Formats: sequence, structure tokens, C-alpha cells
Amino acid sequence: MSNAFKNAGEAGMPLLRVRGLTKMYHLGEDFWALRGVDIDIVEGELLSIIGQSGSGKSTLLNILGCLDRPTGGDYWLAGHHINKMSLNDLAAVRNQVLGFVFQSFHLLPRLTALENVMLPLGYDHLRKQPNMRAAAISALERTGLGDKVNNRPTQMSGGQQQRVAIARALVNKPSLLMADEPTGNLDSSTARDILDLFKELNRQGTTVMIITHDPNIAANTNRKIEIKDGLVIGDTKVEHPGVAA
Amino acid sequence: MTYWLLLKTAIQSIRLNWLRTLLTLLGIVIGVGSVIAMTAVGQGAQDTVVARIAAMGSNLLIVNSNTIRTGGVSFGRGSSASRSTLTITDVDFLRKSLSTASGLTPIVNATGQLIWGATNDSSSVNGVSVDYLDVRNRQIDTGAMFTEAEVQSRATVAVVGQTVVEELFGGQDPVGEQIRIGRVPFTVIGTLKASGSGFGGDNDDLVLVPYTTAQARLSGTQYVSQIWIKAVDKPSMTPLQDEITADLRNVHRLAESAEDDFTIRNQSDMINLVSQSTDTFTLLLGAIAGISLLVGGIGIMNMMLVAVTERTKEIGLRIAVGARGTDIMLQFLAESVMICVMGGLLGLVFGVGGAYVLQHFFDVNTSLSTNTMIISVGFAAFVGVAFGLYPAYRASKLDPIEALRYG
Repeated sequence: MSNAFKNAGEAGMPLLRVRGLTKMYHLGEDFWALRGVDIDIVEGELLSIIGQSGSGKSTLLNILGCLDRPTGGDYWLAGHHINKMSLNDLAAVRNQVLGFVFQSFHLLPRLTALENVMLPLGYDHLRKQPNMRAAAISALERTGLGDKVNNRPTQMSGGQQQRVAIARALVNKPSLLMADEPTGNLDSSTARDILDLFKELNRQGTTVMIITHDPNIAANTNRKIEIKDGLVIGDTKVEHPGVAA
Repeated sequence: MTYWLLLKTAIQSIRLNWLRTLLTLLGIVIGVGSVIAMTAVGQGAQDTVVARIAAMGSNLLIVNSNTIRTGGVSFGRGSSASRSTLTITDVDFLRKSLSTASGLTPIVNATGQLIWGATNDSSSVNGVSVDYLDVRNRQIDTGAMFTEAEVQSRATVAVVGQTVVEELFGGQDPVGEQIRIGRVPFTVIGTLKASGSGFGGDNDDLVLVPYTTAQARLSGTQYVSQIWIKAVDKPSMTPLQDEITADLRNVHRLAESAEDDFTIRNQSDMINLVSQSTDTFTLLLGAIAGISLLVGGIGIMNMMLVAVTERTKEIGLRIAVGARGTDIMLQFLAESVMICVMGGLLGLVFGVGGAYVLQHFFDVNTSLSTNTMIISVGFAAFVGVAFGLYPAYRASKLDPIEALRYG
């Protein structure tokens, strides 16, 4: 890992800051999926990024998740100037700073819940958690699955699988949890449980960002950033979280 | 990722698809197994031939007569019509002049039916000197070898090999018995210990008589078929060979420009020649087996490419949770190397087992070489790296966004 990652970031920065973020795809003709996005996220927030399909929210998620690079603009995360980092350092950022939760869970079916949760620890080149097993068990306990550590994904319900995935995202104690339509594959009552889990995690201090197209889910967060045609068209505080709009 | 984790991940993936892995692994198993078994067969063949040459004696030089052309007609060597260029004069001269020879015997080929009482047998009758036993590395079983005095007096005494004991005398000790070779009566004074088969057939189907007697009473000529000379040690063989050449050219009064009318075969040259040709044989067998190892490698590559495609989503996830390109690459390399090493070890078992079966049930002499085992299992691991590299590279270059969306 280079010094760029080890060194503390620039002072006075919020947890996440993007300025003038653009992304262009070559699809026969040039297509601008993002056309200058500015966002600041401070530590401890529970926010949602909402937009219809084709709005550019997936592109934004991929860039914020350090899986893709922007065409233009700047991105700082936890003090690191992301667009200047090497591929290996980006991998370290994904491993150490970010936690991902996906719509379709993306658990490895041949591994137990515990082994799935331990997966990111294997790529932790800093050895932040010397006892991998204990760290994974404690993450599973935080998501309420302390008694299911040896179950395989096929032996679990969708809600339980998503809890395993959230535990996996939490295991390296990330600064920012990114959830992409985390309730999209769940029935409404299970979805409510998962949303409650996110709120609980946020109350314990984790910054949570939920990407969704569903206004009912966005209404559960404290802040709603609306994306359309590659631009931020709204950034509002939600006054009474949990009350459907 | 730690090595332990890499290993664990590889085992997990292999166990997931154990049947497919096993079938793919067969190529490597057959490759390594056949390399080991085939080179064992080749090496065994070489050992057999070299042992037979060594059994003739040690540090031997064999002088053969070259065929003489008379009026443009060639008589093949050994045919009854051919005339040898080697005579008893050569033998006497060499015996006096050679300083570094520890033994020398002419071979006078004689023919004649062996008759003992009512039984008869045909066998090769060789007129030799008393040095024969030392030169040819033979031992007396019962009785004794004839003496120099008996050679000088052209005594009609014979020493017989074990095959003759069996076939002519029905297995009883023939020492003291009277036999006839052709029309000439001989007294059997000794028997030779068995030596087994060698070049030119049964080494025990043999009757030895003094060469003087053979020439005077059986062949009726001054010619000798061969002269066998034993050097005192290996380093003196080449100088001795030069000395013999010079002496014989001198005795035969050959002009400077004339070719030798004799040929000297050097035992170590023979061993080298045989070793060379069996080495080529071994190399050929090894190469054929090596090709099957290569084909096995292609099978591994094929399987790894399928595995990378099947696990596209997994790769995407691993990248998303922080795997570097090199982590992904190592994961797939570890898997293919592990499969190949497993195949190599299994092939080792089959190769050694195959050599054992050939040795014990099919009477094929085999010789296992530790070097071949190490090299072929090592080569299997190399095949794992070589053919796993491209699939692993492809895996490491996957775009995580596409990979997560896959399937």
C-alpha cells in the first residue's frame, strides 16, 4: 500500500466529497451518464440516493464505490483523493473504508455464513483484525445471526442472507456502508426488518448510504438526494423518518 | 491473501467440482504416469544390455578378422568359406609384445558333433588358451581347467558348459568321461559354472578345448576367428588398442596406405554405443509421454477457463470487497497448480505401480529413476502454472461491475 493511502487525508474534509463529477460512455455516440455531480456526506448520516433507472444513480454508485473511475471531477473519501489512487490502493479503500450490500446478496453458496463474512478479511493487507474468526462472529452478532454462523446460504431465508451480506460489509469496520437496493429482493415485512437494521447500525455510528428507486425506502432515511439525467435535482432532509411520504 | 487462505480457497473450489476436476486431472495422471513408467522401461532395457556386455568380462578388447575379398568375391565373416586374416602367429606375437594386457586368448571356432556313449549333441566348440577363464570372467564348477602344459602338448581334453552337461550327460557330473568331437576322442576334465544368456545365445552351450588341439585336430588350419585381450584397467584400454593395431599391421606387413585387415572392438565403446541408442529410445518414450502431459495441460487450461467464467460473479464480489488483481490471479493459479500437483502425485503412484506390474507380471526389466520422478512431478506443477496463467490473468482483468451483473 502506498503512502497516499496510509497518510491521513486533508483536514476539514467531510467523509465523502465529490465536485463536478462526470462520467461519459462511448455507446456509438458519447453518452454522459453523470454531468457534474456535487455531494458532501458527513460522518454519521443515514441518507438515500434516489432516482429512476437510467438516472445515473448506478453509475454514481460504481464511482463512489471505487469500482469505476469518473471521466472528470474530483472525489475525496475519508480524506483520500480517490481519483489519484492506484488500482491496488482502490482495492484497499474498498476493503478498509467501504462496505457493500447488494440487491442480490452475492454470497458464495459453497461457504458458510461465517466464511462468507470472513471473505473481506482475507484481502486485508494491513491485518487490521488479527482474529478473523472472532471479528466475523461479532459482525454476525451485530446483524442478529449469532446462531447461524455455520449455515450455508441455501439453508437461509432471503432476509437472513441479506443479514449475512450486511455482516460481511461490516466486518472490516468501514467508514461508509453502501447498500444498492438492499431490499429489492425481499418481501415487505422482511424489507422493514432490514431497514430497521440499517437504522440501528446508523444509531451505533455507522454512516449508511442506500441507493434506491423506491420513495418509501428513501422516506426511512434522514436525507434524500435525488438524481435525474446525471444531475442532482434535489437534496432534502427528511423530517420524520419512518413515515411514508 | 495468506498462503494458507489461498490453499484453503483452492481446496474448496476443487471439492465443489471434484468429478470434473478428477476427469481433467486424468490427463496429467496419465502423462506423469507414462513418463515415469516409460523411462523406467527404457532405463531397464539399457541396464539389461549393459549388464550383458559387462558379463562378457571387463576391460575387453576383441580383435576380429576382416573379411578378405578374393578376386572380388566377398565371403561374409564367419561363413565357412571365408578365410580369417588372424593366425596363431599374431597370437604368439601379441602375447610376447603386449605389456598392459592381463590376459589373452584366441578363439578358434571348430565344429563337430559331440558324442557320448549313445547320446549326441551339437554345441559350439572353442579352442582357447588357459587365460580364457580370466578374460571371459568364467569360473570352473567341477574338475579343472586345462593347463599351459596341456595346451603345449595339444592334449585332447575338454571343459564343458552347463547346457552340455544337461543335454549330453543328462545332468550327471561328466568329469572323467570320454567323449568324441567329430571323430576325435576327448577326456572331459572340468565343467564351467553357469553364466546365463548373453549375446549370440546361450553362454553355457559351450565346449572349451586347447586352441592348439583345436587347430591341429579339429579345424586343421592356422587361423583363429577372434583374439580376446583383457587390459589391466580401464585407462590402459585405448593405448593397448593402439598398440595392438600397430603390432598387427606390423606382423601383417600392411603398407602405410593399406586399411586394417582386422577390427578391434572396445568393450567400453560397445557399452557407450548401447547406452547411446537406449538413451535415444528412452528419450523417445519420454517425449511421447511428455506430449500426453502437454495434452493434459491443455485440458487443465480448458477447465480453468470454464471455472473463471462460472465464477465471474464470485470474482466480481471478491474485487468489490477488496481483492487486488494479483489476489484473484494467485487464487486461480493456486487452483490449477494444485490440480496439476495432485495429478502429478497420482501419476507418480500409477507410474511406479505400472513399472512394478511390468517387472513382476510381464518380465520386463524396469529401472525407476528418482530424477525422472522429481522432474515429471515438477513438470506437472510447471504445466499448472503455464496453463493456469492465462485463465488466471483473464480472471484478474475482469471488470467488477460487469462481473457482479453477470448471469
